[in-house]
Amino acid sequence: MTTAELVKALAERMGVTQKQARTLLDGYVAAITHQLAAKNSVILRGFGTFSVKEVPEKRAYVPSEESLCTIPAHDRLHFKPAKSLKDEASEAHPDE
Amino acid sequence: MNSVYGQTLLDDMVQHQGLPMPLVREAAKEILAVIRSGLIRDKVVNVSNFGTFRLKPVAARSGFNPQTREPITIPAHQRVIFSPCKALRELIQPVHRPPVRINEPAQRTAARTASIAEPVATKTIVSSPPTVTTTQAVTTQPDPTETLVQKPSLDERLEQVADRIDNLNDDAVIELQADEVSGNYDPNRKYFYLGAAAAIVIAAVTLSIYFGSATNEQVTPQPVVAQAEQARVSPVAPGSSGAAIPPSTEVPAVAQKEAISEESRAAAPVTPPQDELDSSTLYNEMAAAQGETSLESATAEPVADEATSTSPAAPAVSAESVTSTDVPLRAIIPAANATSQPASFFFTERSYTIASGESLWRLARRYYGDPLLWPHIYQANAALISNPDNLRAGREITIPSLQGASGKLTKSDRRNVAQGYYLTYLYYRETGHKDAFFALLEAKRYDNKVVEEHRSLLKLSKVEEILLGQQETMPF
Repeated sequence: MTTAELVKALAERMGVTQKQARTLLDGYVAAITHQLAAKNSVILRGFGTFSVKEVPEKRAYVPSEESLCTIPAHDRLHFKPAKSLKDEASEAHPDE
Repeated sequence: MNSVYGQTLLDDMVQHQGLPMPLVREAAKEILAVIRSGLIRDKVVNVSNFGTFRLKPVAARSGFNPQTREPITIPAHQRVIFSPCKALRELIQPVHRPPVRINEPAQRTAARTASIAEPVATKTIVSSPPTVTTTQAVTTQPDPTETLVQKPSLDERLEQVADRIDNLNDDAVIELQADEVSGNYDPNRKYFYLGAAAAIVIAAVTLSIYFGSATNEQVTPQPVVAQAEQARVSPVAPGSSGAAIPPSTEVPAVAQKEAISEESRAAAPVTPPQDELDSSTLYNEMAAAQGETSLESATAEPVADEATSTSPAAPAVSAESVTSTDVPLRAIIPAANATSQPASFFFTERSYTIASGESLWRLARRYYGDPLLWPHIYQANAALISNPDNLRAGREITIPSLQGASGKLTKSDRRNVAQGYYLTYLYYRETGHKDAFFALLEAKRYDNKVVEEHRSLLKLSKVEEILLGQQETMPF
């Protein structure tokens, strides 16, 4: 599903124009992004949690150079799906 | 570092974007609902300026309840993955921090020299070479369950049966490929056969019977495999939950683990990169190659020309022994597995009908989560799959489950994978595939014992011999 399809479906369900739907979607995403930029976790009931995790420094192997390197500590966005979302997805696609 | 709920987002939107609360509330609800339904329908939803939601299938695996230590099956399910777009990623981590290359520190080289001086520890694992007296006493019928009893008796028995199979193939193929006989003749075997020379007279008498049984053995692969399958499942005891994971028999010193030799670097392109990444400090040094022949022809069945590498003087012993028994050729593999295998607490397999366009690689990716483990499927179905690179649609195979998981293979998992790679090596060699040697390297990477057991059957050039010596095995 692309963003365009998402906007179209949203417009249909809400009974607004696609342009308005797009504005609402962008506004919502911007609100989430704003919180994540402040390193806050965003908890969306029944959907999941976005959180910022600190990844500690670690060593890794570089196959092309055949040497070791250090990956410095950094922050990473993490999404944990709600149980209902995960279960629903697993039920919809049981095998594969 | 606070947690924020959906309501805060709505308040923000009302405050900063000047939208009415009811509209915003409805929009939030609908947006999540649309993403959700789209995700379930398409398995992927892209939201511009935000990121992509994806479903990723996860194979069923065995695990256990950490409280009761009761084995359970974690069923196959979908994982919901969100990968943020570049802009969001850079918002979270504004400054890009590139990896910093490390030069090999001094302690590393010190560790390497220490580990080279210490191959003796690993040598002890290799089983002792067989004696002549044991091979003379070939009368009992090896039962897969019986082979579990003791280490020495197992070795003897394997040796006996291996020999029988050797000679079976030997006579059958010798006329076809006489010129290849000179290949890899192991001097140890000479004494072995000298001791058996006394049996030649009896052998001549029973030779005709031998030919009868020889053809029987080779014409009927189907029931043989059925027995093999049975044998593989049978030794698996339900097992008490406490004894689930046995302690590893070889515990390499920490220093040894740290060692990454120059040689391993040379061989590195062959090994898949993600394994390298998983453990930042890798690999222990290998023991020197042993001239050991115990299991050599256990897996020889799919490739008939195996036996050409052994001595033509062989029929003497076999002629006598073969008449007294009808051992299924492939039954040896599971029996051998059973000894190296701990009493596994969870072991199942499923049957699977191959659909058009499928490959072992894909099946392994789907059911194990790691396509590189495809030889695990291949070794379990070696008799059903003629070409591992080209499956026949509609054929029914069994997909054995791993004892561990793709990231944490158990000893027997590795052995099975190595067996599969070894079988692939044999197949590739027979068909003249250019990657034959790489399959062998992979076999050694997963389990060196498998390679050592078939050492005398390998046909390697000098360069390959050196490369094989440099290939390291993954640490347990």
